[in-house]
Amino acid sequence: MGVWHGQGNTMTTPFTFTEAVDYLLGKKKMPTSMTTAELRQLSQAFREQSFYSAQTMFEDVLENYQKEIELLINPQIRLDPERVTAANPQGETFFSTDMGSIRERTKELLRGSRYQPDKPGQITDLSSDARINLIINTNRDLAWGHGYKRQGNDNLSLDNFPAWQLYRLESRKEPRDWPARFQTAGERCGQEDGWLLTAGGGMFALKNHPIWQELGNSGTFDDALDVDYPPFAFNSGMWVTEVSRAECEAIGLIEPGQAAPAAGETEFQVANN
Amino acid sequence: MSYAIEIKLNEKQRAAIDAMVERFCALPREAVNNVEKHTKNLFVEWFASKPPNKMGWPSTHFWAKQAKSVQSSSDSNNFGASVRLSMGTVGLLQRLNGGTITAGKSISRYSGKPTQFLTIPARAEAYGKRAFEFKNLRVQFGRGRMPVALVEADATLIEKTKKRGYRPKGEAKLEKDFWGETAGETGGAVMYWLVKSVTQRPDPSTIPATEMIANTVVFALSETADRIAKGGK
Repeated sequence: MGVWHGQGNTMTTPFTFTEAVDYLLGKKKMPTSMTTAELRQLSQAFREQSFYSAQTMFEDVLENYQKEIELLINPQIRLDPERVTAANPQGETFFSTDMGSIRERTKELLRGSRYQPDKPGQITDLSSDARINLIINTNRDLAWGHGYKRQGNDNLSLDNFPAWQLYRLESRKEPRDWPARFQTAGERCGQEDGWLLTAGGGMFALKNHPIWQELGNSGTFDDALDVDYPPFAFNSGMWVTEVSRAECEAIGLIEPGQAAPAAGETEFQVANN
Repeated sequence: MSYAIEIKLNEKQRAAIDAMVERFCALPREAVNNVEKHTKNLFVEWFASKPPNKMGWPSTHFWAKQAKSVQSSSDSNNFGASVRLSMGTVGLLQRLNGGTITAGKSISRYSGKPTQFLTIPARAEAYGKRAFEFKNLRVQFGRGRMPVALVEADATLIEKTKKRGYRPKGEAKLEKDFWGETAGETGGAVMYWLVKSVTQRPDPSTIPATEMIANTVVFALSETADRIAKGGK
């Protein structure tokens, strides 16, 4: 059609992932002595609005986490003359933080608070690499996942790309059986239409289908995060990709011309089924 | 980094589209949104398909983070439309554009002065970690007393071994078998190589090729045009 005027590999200033950053910074810090199990007794809405880590009473540590994660998901561009190349005439480079620096700063804050772990080196040790990595990675991914969901949920996006496909983005030494979890979530969500587990293990569902809520339900899966967007569970390594209307119609998730359910709609049935 | 795609129609092209579909006013919005989503998927899937690190070391999931970071927006009006994609964490631009990284931009945690060397991981245990996270490293000097590496400091390894016999005199209780200690030495493993600078060549395959993006844009526009022409909405 000749209508495209591309800018090739020209880089322009990145724009803020507003949906992810607002989600992260909108959470109020909640120092708590509660365990993970006790925290899950609180309402999902309350937890969604709070930034916390099980048995972490140090508000300055939580505040540092929020600031560092914001920098991770919203890196800034700075100009460095030493980075100038033909492809990069202005010498643009990302400025952000890194996991090593975050670990070091967190440990400094805990030392300053005279923190003493009961079981050094274990995941319950707030100063252990494993604990710090888990907090950073989980909250970073939740911000990205929330933003990804928000950006794909307007009417036009729902019409053009009505569904998600769940897939493994990060390898794991001992991967959980996600097709089995998807099947369980599908059976428990109470809605037969609008989701599909293929013979090859492909996992598809309409974006606002309750299966996603069930997949992230800690009442069903102990490691779930009580969210209906990726990563769904602690350290899952799973993510979603948007599925086009053409593909959805081809695999029977939706009928041609049928509207995809919007956020908040609970009833869905494939037309002419 | 972000990637901007400008879609501008000239008079002839707009007239051609007018002739093709009934609801021209709707085409830009739906079509542009379709372009946005298809190109976003292209970048996400591109990053997701990248192989793990060549050394086989525990992954830092660099490419997975790039995939998760992709976000998009689009806009259309009577004069044309635009789609913007933004993405990336630290390291993506360097891989794409190449260039030289020189020590001295950060402050050393040891000296409090600008760093003199970059640290390159030499073994799996160092990969994904900063040198200052290890508390047992010392500088290894090479020719001309030039620092060449950070190595594990020599340490005395204490091992508990079961010994047969009786505890030495002075113990309150005599036992036939007891736990004693033997001492050995360890350390010296190279954890990081020290270099003044690193120069990397640009890698255009960091992001999809322009032609691939162009094909995706055209596909998305055609897909929407076909759907509207068939009365799909």
